Amino acid sequence: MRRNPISKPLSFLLLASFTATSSQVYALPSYTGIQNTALKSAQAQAIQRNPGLAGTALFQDHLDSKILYVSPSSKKSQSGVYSPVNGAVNCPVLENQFALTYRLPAASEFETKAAQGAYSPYFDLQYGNYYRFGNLITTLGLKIANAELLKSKPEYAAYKIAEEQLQLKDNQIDEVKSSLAALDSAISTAATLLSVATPDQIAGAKEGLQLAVANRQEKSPALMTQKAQLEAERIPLQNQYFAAKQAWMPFNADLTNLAESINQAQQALAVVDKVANEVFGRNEKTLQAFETKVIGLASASYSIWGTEAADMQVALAQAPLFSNTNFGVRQLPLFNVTLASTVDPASHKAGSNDTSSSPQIDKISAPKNVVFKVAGAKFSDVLPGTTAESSHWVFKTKAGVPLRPIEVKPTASSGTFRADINQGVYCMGSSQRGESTNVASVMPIGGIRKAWLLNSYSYKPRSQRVMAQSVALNYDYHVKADPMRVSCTLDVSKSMDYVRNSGEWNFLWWGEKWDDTRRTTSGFNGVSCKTDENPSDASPNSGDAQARLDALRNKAINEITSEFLLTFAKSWRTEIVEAPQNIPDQTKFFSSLGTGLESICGPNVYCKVTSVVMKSLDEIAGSRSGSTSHHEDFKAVIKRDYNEQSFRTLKGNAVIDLTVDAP
Amino acid sequence: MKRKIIPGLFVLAGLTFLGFQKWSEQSSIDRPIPPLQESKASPTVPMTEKDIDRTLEVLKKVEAPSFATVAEELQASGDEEVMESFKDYQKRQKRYDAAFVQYETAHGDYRKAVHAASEANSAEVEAALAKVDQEAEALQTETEALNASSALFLEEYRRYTFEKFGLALN
Repeated sequence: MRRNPISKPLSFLLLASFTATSSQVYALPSYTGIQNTALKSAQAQAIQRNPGLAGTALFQDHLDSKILYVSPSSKKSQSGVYSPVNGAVNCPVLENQFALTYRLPAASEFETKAAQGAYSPYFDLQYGNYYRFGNLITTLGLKIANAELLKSKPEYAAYKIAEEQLQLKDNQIDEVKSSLAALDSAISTAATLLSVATPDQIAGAKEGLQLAVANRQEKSPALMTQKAQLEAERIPLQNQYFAAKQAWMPFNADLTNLAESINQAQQALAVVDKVANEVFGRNEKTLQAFETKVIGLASASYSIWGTEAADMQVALAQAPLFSNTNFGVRQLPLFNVTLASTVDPASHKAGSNDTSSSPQIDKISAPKNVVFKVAGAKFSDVLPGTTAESSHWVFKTKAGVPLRPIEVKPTASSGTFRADINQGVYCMGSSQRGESTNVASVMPIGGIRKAWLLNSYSYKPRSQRVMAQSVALNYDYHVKADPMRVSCTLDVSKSMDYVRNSGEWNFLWWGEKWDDTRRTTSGFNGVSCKTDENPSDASPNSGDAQARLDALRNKAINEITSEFLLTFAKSWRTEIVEAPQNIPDQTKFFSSLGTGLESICGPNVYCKVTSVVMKSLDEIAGSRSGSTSHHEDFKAVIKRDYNEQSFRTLKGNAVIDLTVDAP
Repeated sequence: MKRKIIPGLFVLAGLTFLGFQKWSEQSSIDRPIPPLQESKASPTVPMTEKDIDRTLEVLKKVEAPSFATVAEELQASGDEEVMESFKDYQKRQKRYDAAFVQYETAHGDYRKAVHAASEANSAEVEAALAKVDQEAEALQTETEALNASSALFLEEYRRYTFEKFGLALN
């Protein structure tokens, strides 16, 4: 028995690990904390016990779960001094516009008034138009019901099933045809490579051609047989399809007519709804303009913080989650506190002027680690367990400044301000419209009297001297974001087969998103990626997080593919290609494109690698036997692991009810 | 000779079939709105509350055609009353939008004057307030005119669509 030139089945594990860690970490409020159901539940209980905590958000420290951060409450009231503008108030105009927009008849008169014509934009939108177009709606309903009845006929089901089965068979045949064409194409590519090969490439190119020819000889008979079999199976399906179609045809014209009729009725009713919505929208705009007319100013002092931290501490202590637990509630570190829509916003003091807003990844300092391992090794045996200690801060701002929790001074985030007092507040007592009114009625459609419910607003004059104007305080705060882990592997054996068959490295570096779909459609099946934690859709800035996850994955893929080419290919050519449109901005997140990529493509990273000649296995393993018989035993994997920890800057707001005493 | 005639017959039959198919497609494009009367092959079902609910749900998801398409249809129908009312509605919309911009500008100037004034009731504030009140009156007039115009158009459109579908006005 001939001994394999390599003593054992060759198994390389080529690992390149890139790990990020740090020894010194500043704690931040954690976004993941508020996803915690138990914490949410405890917070709800706390608010129930102390309604003054309504509108607060609760965060857990990302390192110490016993430290909690509470945001400002939105239930604050502040008294101010009112200075009116003489002659500015005109409550009857506001009342009139309310009536013009939202006027409703008495519930018992809905049908009578709707029959007489337009009443008010809101009434017509919600009731009147449905009533007046009732016959058309009835007709539409009947048509839809009849179309459904036709579709429930067995002839229709049989026709659709037969159509689907025939399509499925056609798809199978096309797939086999494509496989056959790919075999021919591989030969053609290999022959072209051979014709342009330089003397030192000829041996490899010949080997490639022989492999492609052998591959076709091996696989095409089975594919041809499969094709003939599928085509034979298609004949009865086609007959079945024609028979089913013939049986359905007498009803088809009816269904087509119904569909046309349904479409036209729907379009007509949609036009009515569009006009009614537009008119109501403009009436509401007018109403809001009159509500927000400035009729005076109020001066007040404010503080964004009350006693939220102490109150939350007391309220949470009674929740089962925290009872008998040593925990502490702190004020959420805020900065960039601003007053919205105030006359003199500069007269307040904010907590900090830190304006960092771009998330940065951790310092990644571990060098690339390449490990060769022979036979039978498990991944876990050779994954580098060591992580380099870093002396850098974990989180840094865009400018590279270490991010620290912001210390809030007792006097910060407070000050004096002047705010507008609006006509709506003066006339109705509050800048909120309050609860809408429910009105129950009946709508006659298609011989059926259907229950119909409306919610409407009406003008309610102020009943007391005090009026409340809402004033919003906006602020920024940092939270620790969900960690992201990306692990990508390249199966060297599969990739070598791919390159030998196609002769190309057919994708663009830094070009497009390397999602699973694109990898599959490109026929490149040597690379796979696993993302352990996708950014949660519910998390703030999830779109940005998804883009960063994509960038992280692209970076990993580009590195392993570059490394594959540099390690296992003997020669290749590059062609500069046009930069694709809508490419992700990779440099937004990562400053380096990677030295491997630059050594392949040069400074222009939009390149396509062609005419690739792979090294023979003996060249890779160092054997001089020249045999390739152990090709199937060759296993190698190139791997990158990324672990990203980052922070986000989020925006919050607290609302203060500024109360003033009206004259 | 026989060999030439038989393929020739096939070609002729094929062309005739293709010609018929083409004619069928053409006639289907030119076909008028299907009449409301049910065809004999089409069964009818009584209307239930479930059917009404489903119809109303379907209507919520229908995207309305653009006003340019509506105008084309109304123009092509030759129905002058509905066309005129539609044109008037669109004109009123534009006038409303212009009046709203005027009001917003006047109110912005007035708000600035109030904020800038050392006392709330200066001459500048009074003048700016007078302008706001004037524009508010104009805006309210345009809002009412828009409401009247849209009511007229929707009534004309109801008559037009009900005639088109052969329905009685309810």
